[in-house]
Amino acid sequence: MFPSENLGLAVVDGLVNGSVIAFIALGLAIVFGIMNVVNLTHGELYMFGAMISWLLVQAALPYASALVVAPLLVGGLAVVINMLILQRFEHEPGQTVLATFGLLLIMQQVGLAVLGPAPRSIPPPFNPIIEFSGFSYSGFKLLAGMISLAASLLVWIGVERSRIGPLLRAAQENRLMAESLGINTSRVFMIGFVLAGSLVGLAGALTSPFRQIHFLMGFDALAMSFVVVVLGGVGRIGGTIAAGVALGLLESLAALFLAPTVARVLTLTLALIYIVARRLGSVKGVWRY
Amino acid sequence: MRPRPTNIAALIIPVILAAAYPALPDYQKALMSRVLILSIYSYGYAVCFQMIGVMSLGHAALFAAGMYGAGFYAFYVSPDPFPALSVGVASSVLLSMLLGVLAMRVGGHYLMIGTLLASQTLYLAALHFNDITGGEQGLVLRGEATIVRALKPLLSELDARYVASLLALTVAVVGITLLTSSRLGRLLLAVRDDEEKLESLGYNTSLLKLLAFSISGALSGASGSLIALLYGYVGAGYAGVLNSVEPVLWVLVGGPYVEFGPFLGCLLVNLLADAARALLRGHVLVVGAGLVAFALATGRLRWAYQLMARWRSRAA
Repeated sequence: MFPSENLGLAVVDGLVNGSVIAFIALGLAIVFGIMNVVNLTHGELYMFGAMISWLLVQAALPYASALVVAPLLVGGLAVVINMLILQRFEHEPGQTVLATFGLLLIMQQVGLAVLGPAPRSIPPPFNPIIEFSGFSYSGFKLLAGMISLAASLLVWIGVERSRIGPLLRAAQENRLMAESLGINTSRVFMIGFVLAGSLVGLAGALTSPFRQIHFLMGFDALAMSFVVVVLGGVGRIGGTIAAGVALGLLESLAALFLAPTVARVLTLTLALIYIVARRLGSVKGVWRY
Repeated sequence: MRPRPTNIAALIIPVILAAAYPALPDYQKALMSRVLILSIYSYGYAVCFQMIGVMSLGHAALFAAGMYGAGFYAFYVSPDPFPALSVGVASSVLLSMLLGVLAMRVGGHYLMIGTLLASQTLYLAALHFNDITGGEQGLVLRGEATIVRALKPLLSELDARYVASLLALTVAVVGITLLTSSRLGRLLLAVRDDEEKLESLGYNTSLLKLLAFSISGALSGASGSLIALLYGYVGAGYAGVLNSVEPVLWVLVGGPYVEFGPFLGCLLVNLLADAARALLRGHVLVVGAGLVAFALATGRLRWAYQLMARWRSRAA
């Protein structure tokens, strides 16, 4: 049917892609999953992370600088968006969807103005070829996947074990009650946005050497992030990570048999049906009228 | 049932549009034809958003289903615009029923994200099968496949587009006014206002919502089919996410009266976007800035937020 080295490559590539998907979705798992803010600019923040890296490399700065600058700038941007716009209406869902969608379109145009219509790329700073039995793999990509997974797990443990997780949940569940207990909820939201923004900015910088940097790259990241967050169970960071890795693996394995776009369409459709079925309790419930 | 005063006001729209036509310069005639077709889409969205209070972010899929349905028929089967139009509407009704079965059962964020993902999936599919759909470049239909050619003996190309789109809009407006004053229309509004109460009275609200979503699909698909059959072109761009969000903006700008709001909103936004074309892809920027501005201008939009709040509390 297919040589076993293809299977090995698909598994490794799937795990790497899955870890990257999970890392990209992490910020959304905090902002949407825990804080219940439907932030549609998440994908564009990711694009900005990659764009900033490209600009730095264009300016002859070392790639490593992007890993510091991109999270800082994107985290800052997330805070500005929160302060200037989302906080004005206290993250009311309907208004948030409209406003962040508007911002998404504007940010996309900024991306177009900076990057131009053609995709850009950054050469990886180092790229040893790792030999597995029967196939070889990009060393940089493998490292980026491992960093993504490790960072995601660290953030998960960090948020759940520290005061941040409970604070974020408290501020979301009952703002008034949290306030009356002396929690500065707008500061808590701010922390959430800084964390989410800098994480997704870092993800943009980390993945920029092996992904095409394009002004429309954000939407795909956003869609996958939402799928992963909802699949993993809203509000559960660990679930998001697991779902990200599983989805990456599934898509990679499906791509052995199908064209990549068909594999993507299939994965999204399965995810959609799963989400609806979960909301209704059973798959049969979906068809009962 | 007694007609509502807004119904009568809505019926004036086609009359004004017909009367104003001779006075318009050629450029505005062309612009207005497009606006008229898109307003049908706007009405379609309004049936979903304003009548049953469901905010979909994936209506471009329904629009595109109509466009591709009509376009494929005219391109591959027979270059005859009128059967193509019915094929277009039928395919979007079919898709809206399929999508509605899934989407109308969930609420809140799940519905918004679900519809967004569903339409994005179809967009990707349209890009992928580009040997059939022509992808982003699209397909150009033969001249005889367009409605413009069918009206050729009577009217010039410019006039034909305007007359055909005005005719279609008139049908849509009359249809909407009939719907809002009918028993079914009242039931749909009742779904929006208090779904639980209606359910306890023995109505199948899921079915009512599915019906409304299908009507919405029919109008959106009709608009998409007309774009294909009047301009002789179908392209994946229309299936993109921007085309899902624009009707949200139109309907919000148009205000709470479902009979004429969708038209007014569509007209205003498109005129504004046309004026902003000088900017870099100004159209997208106008839509983006418009959405942010509307989100911030809460007071003016109270009706929309009340609507969404009701729907959310139900969904929770």
